[in-house]
Amino acid sequence: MFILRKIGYLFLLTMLFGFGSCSNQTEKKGDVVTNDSSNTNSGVNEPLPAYYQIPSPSNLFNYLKDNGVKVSNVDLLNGVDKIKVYNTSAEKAVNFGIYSTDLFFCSAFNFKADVLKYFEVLKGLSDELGLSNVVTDRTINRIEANLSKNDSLVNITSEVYNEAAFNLEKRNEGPTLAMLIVGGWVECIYLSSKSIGTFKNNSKSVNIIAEQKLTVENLKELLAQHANNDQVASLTNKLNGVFEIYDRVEVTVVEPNIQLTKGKRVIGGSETYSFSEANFNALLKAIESLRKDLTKN
Amino acid sequence: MKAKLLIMLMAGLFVVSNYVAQETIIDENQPCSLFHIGDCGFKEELVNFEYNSQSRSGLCKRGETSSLYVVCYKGMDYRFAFCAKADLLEGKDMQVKIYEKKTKKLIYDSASQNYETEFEFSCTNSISLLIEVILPKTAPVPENKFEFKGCVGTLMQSRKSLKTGF
Repeated sequence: MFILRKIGYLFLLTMLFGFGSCSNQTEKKGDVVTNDSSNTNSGVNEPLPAYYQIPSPSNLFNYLKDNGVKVSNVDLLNGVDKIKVYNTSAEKAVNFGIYSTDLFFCSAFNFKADVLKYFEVLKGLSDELGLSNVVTDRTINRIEANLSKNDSLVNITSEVYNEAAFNLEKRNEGPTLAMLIVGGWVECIYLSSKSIGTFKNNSKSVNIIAEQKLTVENLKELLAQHANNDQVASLTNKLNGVFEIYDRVEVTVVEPNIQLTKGKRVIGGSETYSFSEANFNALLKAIESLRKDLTKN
Repeated sequence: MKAKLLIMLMAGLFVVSNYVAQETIIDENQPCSLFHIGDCGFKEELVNFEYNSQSRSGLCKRGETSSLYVVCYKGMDYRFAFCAKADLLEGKDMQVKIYEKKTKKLIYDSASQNYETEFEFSCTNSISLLIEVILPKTAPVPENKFEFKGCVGTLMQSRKSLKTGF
């Protein structure tokens, strides 16, 4: 009887444990996910939404730098004290992008004195966006140890930017990531176009700004994917003036270049882009006005 | 007294086992975000190539096509590595097609390159590319089975085009 009672209790324990841990048997840790309740046995899959990617501010700054653009006026950067006025999550996300770009600017163009200031600002904003693991005390220590090395500073800044993007993707915060990307891109165009200043016909650097039409097309699609988000919709409205200027960029069709040269694949696009003087000046005004709005300056 | 202890123990085990069960539930939206970093790789390390943030991973079913639009700048070298979870492929090859976005001209089809999972080029005129990663089709899933999903990644690197010689 005693033994039967023991067996009974053991049986009850096993049943309770078994039911309690019963979860989706097809789940595994890591990157394999199953349990799709929308089983499509018909064999016809809905097309997946496309991903529209935007080059990071460091890609654009390096591209500009490699083509002779000197961004030399540190006074153009967004003031570090402005962080106090960004209250909504949208303002914080956009200005995280803006300050990231300012940091790339400082790192790439050798404004060492300002690098630490901008890292501290990014640390503050990352904490407020729930991205505390992105700019840590260890990151600041690495910056301090590498203040004399431009390349290292640019790399660390890239890591911070990418880490912020990864975290937002993992948390499925697409709209916040989109706003961060917009902030970064607007600041890039603002700083580089202001540094160019006066329009020159056939100028390499003016043409690089015109080429951003390629990025604008992806940016429009990225924002459209989050059009249901009120903050993204509001931001898109603000960008429309700049987008309209890019619609007027002059396009010259060239022979697309796709060939193998000495075993190396060489590819070039089928269009080149340029601004008229009027359009470039319109962009200068529009981007300055937009940036003023976004930074609350 | 002993019965009470036993009931408390069983209740405790029940609570713990539920907690463990919840910890194994995976949010469908998050598992692939870093897949391309951990799983896609290049056969060789080449000088000066750095991670390009236009890299991307996503969650796909067998037979699906993942599409990625990227911008490449004039005067830069680019390379891509493509990868997918083995269970998505079931021993077959995935196919990669790359188009110029403007003209929709097919620039590259891995089917003609033995389903090579790497692609590299020098960019002579800035270009917007559409990259399609096409997963192999498999038999339809029986109605009483869940459909398999896994990660697909595109790792992108870039550098300023090198000038060789003295």
